[in-house]
Amino acid sequence: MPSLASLVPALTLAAAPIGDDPVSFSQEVRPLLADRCFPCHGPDAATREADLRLDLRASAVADRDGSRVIDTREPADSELLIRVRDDLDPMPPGPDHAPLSGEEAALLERWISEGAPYDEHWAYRAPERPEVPPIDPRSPEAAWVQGDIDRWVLDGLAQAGLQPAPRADARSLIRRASFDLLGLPPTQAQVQAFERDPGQAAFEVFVDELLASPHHAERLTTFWFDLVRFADTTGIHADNRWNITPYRDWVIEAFASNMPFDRFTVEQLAGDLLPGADRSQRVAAAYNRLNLITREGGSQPKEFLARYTADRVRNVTEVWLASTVGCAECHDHKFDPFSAREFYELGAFFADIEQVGVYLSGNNTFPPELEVPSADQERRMGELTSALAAVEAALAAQTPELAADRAAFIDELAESTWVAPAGLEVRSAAGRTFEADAAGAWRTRPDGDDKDTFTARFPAPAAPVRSIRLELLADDALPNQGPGLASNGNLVLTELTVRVDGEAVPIAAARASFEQPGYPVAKAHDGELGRGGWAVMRAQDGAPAEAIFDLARPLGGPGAGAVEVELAQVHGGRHLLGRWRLSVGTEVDSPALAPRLRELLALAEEDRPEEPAEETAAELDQLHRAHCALLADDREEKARLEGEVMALQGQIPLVMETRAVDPMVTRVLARGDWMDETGEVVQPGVPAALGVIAVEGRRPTRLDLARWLVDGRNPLVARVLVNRVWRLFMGRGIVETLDDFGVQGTSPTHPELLDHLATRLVDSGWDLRALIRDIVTSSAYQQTSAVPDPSAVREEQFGLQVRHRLDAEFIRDGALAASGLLQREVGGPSVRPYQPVGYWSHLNFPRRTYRPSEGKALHRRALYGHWQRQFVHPSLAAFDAPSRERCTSERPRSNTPLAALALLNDPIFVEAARALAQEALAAPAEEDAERLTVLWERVLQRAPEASEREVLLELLAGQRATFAENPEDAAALIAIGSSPASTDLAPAELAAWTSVARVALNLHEAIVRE
Amino acid sequence: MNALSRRTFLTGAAAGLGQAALASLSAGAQQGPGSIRLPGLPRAKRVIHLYMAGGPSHLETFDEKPELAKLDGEPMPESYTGGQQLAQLQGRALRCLGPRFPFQAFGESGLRICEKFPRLGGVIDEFCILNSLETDQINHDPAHTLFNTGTTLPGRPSMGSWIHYGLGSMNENLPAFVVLSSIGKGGQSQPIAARQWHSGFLPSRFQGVELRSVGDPVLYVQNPAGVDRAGQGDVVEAIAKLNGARAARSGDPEAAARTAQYELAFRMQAAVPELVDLSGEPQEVLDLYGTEGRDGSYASNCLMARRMAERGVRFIQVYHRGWDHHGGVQRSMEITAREVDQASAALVTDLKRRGLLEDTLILFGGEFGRTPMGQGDGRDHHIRGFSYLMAGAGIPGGRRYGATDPLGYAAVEDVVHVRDLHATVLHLLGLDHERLSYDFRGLDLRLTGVEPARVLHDVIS
Repeated sequence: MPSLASLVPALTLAAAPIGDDPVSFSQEVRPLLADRCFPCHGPDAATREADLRLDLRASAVADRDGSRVIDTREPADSELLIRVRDDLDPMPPGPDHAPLSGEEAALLERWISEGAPYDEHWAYRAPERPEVPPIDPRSPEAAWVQGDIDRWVLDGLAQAGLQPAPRADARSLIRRASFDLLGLPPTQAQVQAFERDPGQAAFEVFVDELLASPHHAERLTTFWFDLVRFADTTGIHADNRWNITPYRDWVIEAFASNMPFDRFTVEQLAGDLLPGADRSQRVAAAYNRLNLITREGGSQPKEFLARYTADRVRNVTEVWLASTVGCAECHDHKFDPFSAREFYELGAFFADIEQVGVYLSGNNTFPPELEVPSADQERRMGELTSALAAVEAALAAQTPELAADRAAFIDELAESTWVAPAGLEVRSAAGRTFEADAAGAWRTRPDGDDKDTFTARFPAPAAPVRSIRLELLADDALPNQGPGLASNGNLVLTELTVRVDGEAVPIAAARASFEQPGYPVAKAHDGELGRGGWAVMRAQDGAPAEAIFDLARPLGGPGAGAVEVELAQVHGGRHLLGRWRLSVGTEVDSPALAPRLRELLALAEEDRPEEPAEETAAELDQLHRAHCALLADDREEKARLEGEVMALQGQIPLVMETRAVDPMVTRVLARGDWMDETGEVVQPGVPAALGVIAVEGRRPTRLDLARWLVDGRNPLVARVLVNRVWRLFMGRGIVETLDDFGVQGTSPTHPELLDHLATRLVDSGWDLRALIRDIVTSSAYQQTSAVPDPSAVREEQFGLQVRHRLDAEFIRDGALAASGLLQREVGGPSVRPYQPVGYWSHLNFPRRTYRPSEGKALHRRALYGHWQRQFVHPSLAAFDAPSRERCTSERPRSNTPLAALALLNDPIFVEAARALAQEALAAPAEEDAERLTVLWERVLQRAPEASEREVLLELLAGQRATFAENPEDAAALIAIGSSPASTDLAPAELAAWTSVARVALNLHEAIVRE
Repeated sequence: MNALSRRTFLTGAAAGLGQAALASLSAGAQQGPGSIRLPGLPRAKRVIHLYMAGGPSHLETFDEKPELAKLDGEPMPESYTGGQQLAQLQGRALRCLGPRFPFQAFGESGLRICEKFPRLGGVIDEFCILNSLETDQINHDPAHTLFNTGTTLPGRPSMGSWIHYGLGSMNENLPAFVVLSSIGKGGQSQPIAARQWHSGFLPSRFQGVELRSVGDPVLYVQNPAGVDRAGQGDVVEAIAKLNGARAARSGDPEAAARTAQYELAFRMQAAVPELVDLSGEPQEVLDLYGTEGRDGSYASNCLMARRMAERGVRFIQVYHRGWDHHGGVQRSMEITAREVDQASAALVTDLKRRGLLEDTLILFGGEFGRTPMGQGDGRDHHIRGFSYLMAGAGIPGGRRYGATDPLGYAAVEDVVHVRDLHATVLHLLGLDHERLSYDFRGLDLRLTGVEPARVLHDVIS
């Protein structure tokens, strides 16, 4: 087969103009008009001049008082040509707009003289399956052709006067396929097996093995997550972590099971709206929650709701339509048929998503959220729930024994006596004063510091004190009737401490008649001043309450001195006791009673109502059940089960959920201004140029949108996807602008191949894996990328293989795989790799200290690494991993000193080098040269060449000498990383080999897919 | 290809293919000759942006408002605030908060600024005070994004990246765009996203590089533990030799480009520690700035900025995160003013005596200002009027430009939008802001965007 050596002269021929073909409107004329004319004479009504639209033929050829902008009968009279050729006042006007060249004007003239035919932009015409180019079975190329793709590629190359490149050598091909399909290097054994049998059949078997690997699904996530902007954090302001990882597992599983792409689309956009949506489908719909959100105080909810909508519209139109619909947020699109109104109609599809503009929920909580338990967790939760139900039933049962016991209990309650300690004095650390009232309660004077500590002192009573009661009382003089001084009437008792003669008496237990969620009374005796306390805010009902603190040992009695009860209240915001009363009791385990019950029981028995009100009876019954000895075992069991439920709950992963609610009103925002409320209200709808969603009598939904995208009639979706997949494996899109299929994007170099693949994809039931398999097993894929002079084939390289640097994730994964450190388990929550100290110092609310994961989690694939949008891991960022703040179709592939520093010095790569050195040293080898081969094969799947070996042995000798002289340096180098260095090896020897392994991992060849 | 010798790395003299690749690294924008360059310029070769993050109150810094003092505690006239956007003051009663400090005349010009900035006052004759800035974004994150990139959409290049792209680098061993930051004690230190120095759609090499005060000064710039410079040099040399041999066999020109980056990285490993080593600075200089060494303070960062200016760093952005004074503006301002006053003035003085001020543009200001209305005893975010300082690059000093209304609410005279400031910065660097553009998704995008932006000729001449 002819090689690429003949390629350059052929190119020269291909570049010659072909004069006879008619001018192509879509390929040649529209791009020119779009670039120079549409800004003022195109789809955007707001900037349109002279009421002229050059994007519509009817407008362009219309009679305008005797003259025509385009005159097909007298082309030379066309105002268009006259104006673009006007030297003094050329169109387009102004200093910013480049005038047309002579050739460009001539092109327009030719086109007009050919009748100025317009046709629809190629991307908005539904693809039709083209005829596959025939091939003569006797031709020398016939043997090269593996399938339809190769016929198109061969045909395309032939038209450019080119031949396919030779097949890549076995090792390069296996390495390429392995990195392309798994993001991991092959093993030496895989390469050797293929070298023995390098046929097409063997290659297909190899490819099928890779496609079936779970690591293939992991590899595809990188492609998908860049598009949908998957990350672990909110992206705006404090950039808090959110709950999202079950969605990652869903995507992995979807790729692993080769879920058809139509279903893949529907479940992500509208899984929650599917009839009988199961949990997996609801997890998938978390796609709709991946937009950037804020918690910044002072943000305007309305502004951010508008941003969230726009973010979603941009993403869905970029990912599925490769369209710049986002431009229409502020104005009609300048080039493509998308109006601002249509932008907001698309936005209206997402108006049903339950959300708030500014999330003031907890740091890492962005409701609504969905629990996603594992099968084990679900089973265990089921068991606990039924056990809990059983014990609750037992606790609620009525028996004659209980009734009798209750009567006795109530009598006892009525008798129980709390007494105000004699000689009580109170003072405040902040210098507040107190006023005693008739009820024996204290009223705190409000003025003073926000935080305070009160101390009550009294001489120890004669009868031993076993408990202390603190009552919080209502008072009209307090804010919100109290009982606290805070503006809402609340307070926080941070810590209660009891001392006798200066010696602390521990609190054994405490209970309260009411606890504000999150502020249980237990926090008021946890020994911690900083960790919350007891508070009593509730929606209605005022908030008087009491708490009882049982002492670990009785105090008082003969000879006891002064008792001090210290009430620390350091929450701030004047959360202080407002009106309160302290009393002491002689028993433990007394129930804390709501003040209403307390009042009721205080009445003499004869004054109490015969039949207490139903509510009161129920309350007393509850109180009894909470205290009676008959139910003690059941209560204990219940508490135990509840504890277990809570612990399990804490382990169950959450995912932000897409939950549909009544849609908010969507208006057209003039120039994107969210404050403008005069815009027209719109209903969900799709751009007219792309079709229509036909639903009758109801509002179209996200589900309708999703189904419309993948109904097989959408002109863009399948093309956009096959183009992305083509680029993934061939290095370059058939449409080079992956993210712009509009008139400003590039035209497909091989439109028929694009349509062939797109229609096949739809006809196959959106079988993504079949598409990938077709591409990867083609001869086109298997060509060598070793092009003598790549710059010479730049424009015509389509259909040839292109080498490129690996994506950031695969550089890390590859190094870990070569070193043997890689953990291969699939799925689960995000992990935290090593990260330089202080890298997050710019984050706040809250400030964050990065703590890396421990053990094997440090060696998981990069896709599981925590993705902080504002501070992407610096090693990944150095190799162009995007922030995922927006849709990324194509990462740049930069080559910078920062990337070199990361690969040289990031501890993960040093640790990998050391582990790799250990592998080389552990190999059954006698000579350094053999060990070098082991090392080289693990990284590059080939033996070093003689000249390479020479360089490496020289390095090794030098490093051995250095480390032998400096044992502490050797020890320091091999200590890097969490995996232990082998103790069987001499440190200096291991360190020297670590240097050699660092060279291997840093080689250009190691991080390039050829 | 010639294998590179060990000496090549250690002396810092690049050679061979590496040099070629390096040349393209520092070249910047590949535009037609002169098309983005303005005739007769540049006046500035570099920019130092002293970035007062959090939003300093213009009313306690550079915009004196006696009328506001008279209305202290009175309701804010609704004629000012009706229909306007508010941040944390949404839905609250709006009352005037008089300026917390007197102003005082400084310098020969007699320009009046807040008495809490006496050192800046001492060099006020170098500055033009702009009192009429306005921005579109009222919350920190979007406002920073607008100030740095000209828009709030993520994915756009920051000003430093545009400038690096437009002008290239002036040095071979350090990044062209460097970011430093310090945390103040006088207010909430609002977070800052790496987006603020990102290169967006421009190639990654135009990205800002953080010079950190904790850990490695540049990420991963230190050798692994146990590896000294000679040992690292041996490793890098072996990589270069093997890449060279591979390039010769495979014909992959990228292999040589990779080697060039390893060379540069290796030189950076020497240049960065040299840059941050202040031991050679005389005590008098440390005293001038008010720093004792590399401690991550604003003062130490200002000194670092001067050292970078000397070493050819093109765009230096010095964040001070301490200006978000929602509460207690009086106490907070006193603290924050003390943190920045001396060192900011020292930088001007030091650059001037070294002859660097004439081609260095200094900007001093934040992402927005603060309300004349009180938020308790503090001030809320404010976008309709705030102040900026400019010095150096031949800008006539001791002058004032623009004004807000009598209560310091809205800029009313010679209003300067953030875009106008961008246009002016580019202009002083000899770049035409309407032509410094990059084709992205079919659009020629620029720092100043599509809205009209004007160069502030009255400020710079």
